[in-house]
Amino acid sequence: MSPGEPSAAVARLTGDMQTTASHASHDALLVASLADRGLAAPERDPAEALVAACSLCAALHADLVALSAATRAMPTPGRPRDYRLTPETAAGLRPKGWRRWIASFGTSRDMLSRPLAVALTTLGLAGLLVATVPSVLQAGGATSSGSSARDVSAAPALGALPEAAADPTRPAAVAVAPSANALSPIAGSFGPDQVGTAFDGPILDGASPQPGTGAVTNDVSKGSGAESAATNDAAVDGAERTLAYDTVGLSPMILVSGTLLVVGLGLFAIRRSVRRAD
Amino acid sequence: MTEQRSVWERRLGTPRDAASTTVSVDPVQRRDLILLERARDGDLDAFNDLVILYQDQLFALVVRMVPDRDQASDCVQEAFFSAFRNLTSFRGGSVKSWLNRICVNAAMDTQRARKRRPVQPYPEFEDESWQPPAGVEADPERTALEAERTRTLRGALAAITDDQRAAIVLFDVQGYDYGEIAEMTGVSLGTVKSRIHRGRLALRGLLEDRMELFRG
Repeated sequence: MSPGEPSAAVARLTGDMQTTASHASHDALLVASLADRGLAAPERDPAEALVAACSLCAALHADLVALSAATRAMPTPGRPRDYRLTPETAAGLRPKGWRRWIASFGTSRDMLSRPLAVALTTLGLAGLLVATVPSVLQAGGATSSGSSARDVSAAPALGALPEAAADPTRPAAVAVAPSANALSPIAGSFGPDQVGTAFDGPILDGASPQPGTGAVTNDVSKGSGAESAATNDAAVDGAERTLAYDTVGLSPMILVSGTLLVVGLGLFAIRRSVRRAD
Repeated sequence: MTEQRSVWERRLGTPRDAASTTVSVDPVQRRDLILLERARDGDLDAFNDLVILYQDQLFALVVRMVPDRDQASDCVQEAFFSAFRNLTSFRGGSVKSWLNRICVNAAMDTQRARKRRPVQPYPEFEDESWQPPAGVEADPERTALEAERTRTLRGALAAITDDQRAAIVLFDVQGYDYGEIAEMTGVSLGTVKSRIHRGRLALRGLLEDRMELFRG
């Protein structure tokens, strides 16, 4: 660079060119905000400083003010018709029947639906927790505590086997069969006497649902044949209840709690849709 | 104005009539709330009184947002239908703002529908050249200039985004402040400011070659 040359690139520009170059870096939104009435002082001061320092910013500001004034002064065409409602139109617009009932939810006069929705949802959630958490904990405890607890629970099911096998119309026979049939790969290797002892052992714990085989069931009935008929009936009923709970997994409490939860959430949804329609 | 107010007060009755509504110091708001309360109770005349009071203003608002005059008129009619259907949903505050919000929403819906179906079967029927009738002593040159200015500005307003146009019309034409516009359009204060400022800059960008129409 020779001694006569300007040191910086900006210094090569004339006055107008310098203004244009620096204007590109100015905040146009700040200038636009100055055109608003009631701009707060902390925002107004830097905007005014910018407009005072840059001629292009000042021109932009003047244009924006002129456009704002022109927008305000735009003539309004007269309305082409009267918008008053006739009684017939009004009657058609009023909601009827269930729509009227639904429309009443979520309005300013409705003081009931929100607390009701909150209460139902809370009760439903609490009921579901109460109904499900203990059984989950129980299942976890049973898994961790080893086979003894499950042996006890298996006892009535085994007691039910002879009657269930004898009466094919009983649904318990089908339901019980998987528990006993799970023994088949192992029990098949025992003789009739050995099977009876095998049921008392922890081998039952591995029971899993499989299609039933009559042979094993019959062997079991031979092993416990000395039981009385009355005892067997009671045991079958207990087994039905136990297995029905295990297979379906629903209790009345869960059903009621679930219904409350659904109704509560439904109320919330209706309120929301009514408010959005507003 | 005072005479008009006393006519309304005579028609509306004693302040006890407004007992079930939010108590308002502003007589205009109080009048509106009483009318709305009566309309809620099934008085169609009370609702039509509200229509009479606000139909001009609402049409002026919507016609700047929806360029087609007939569509704007349909929009205002639909907004009044909606207001009538949802009288029970009014949750206090300003009736005027509530009606404006319904109108703005209806106008935005109309604009979205226009974009989905952009083809206009009879575009020549769009009344973009409407001007108020000139007075006897009006200067023809000035009248022509104003008509040109209006047409140009209307075209530029139609070219910016719906949100920006709504914010500019509500701020510049209707005179609402940032907070009221934010409440009406359901966005934050910062968004309203941004829409107004960016909208103005967009207008200026579109009209850069025609700015001599608006200067001086």
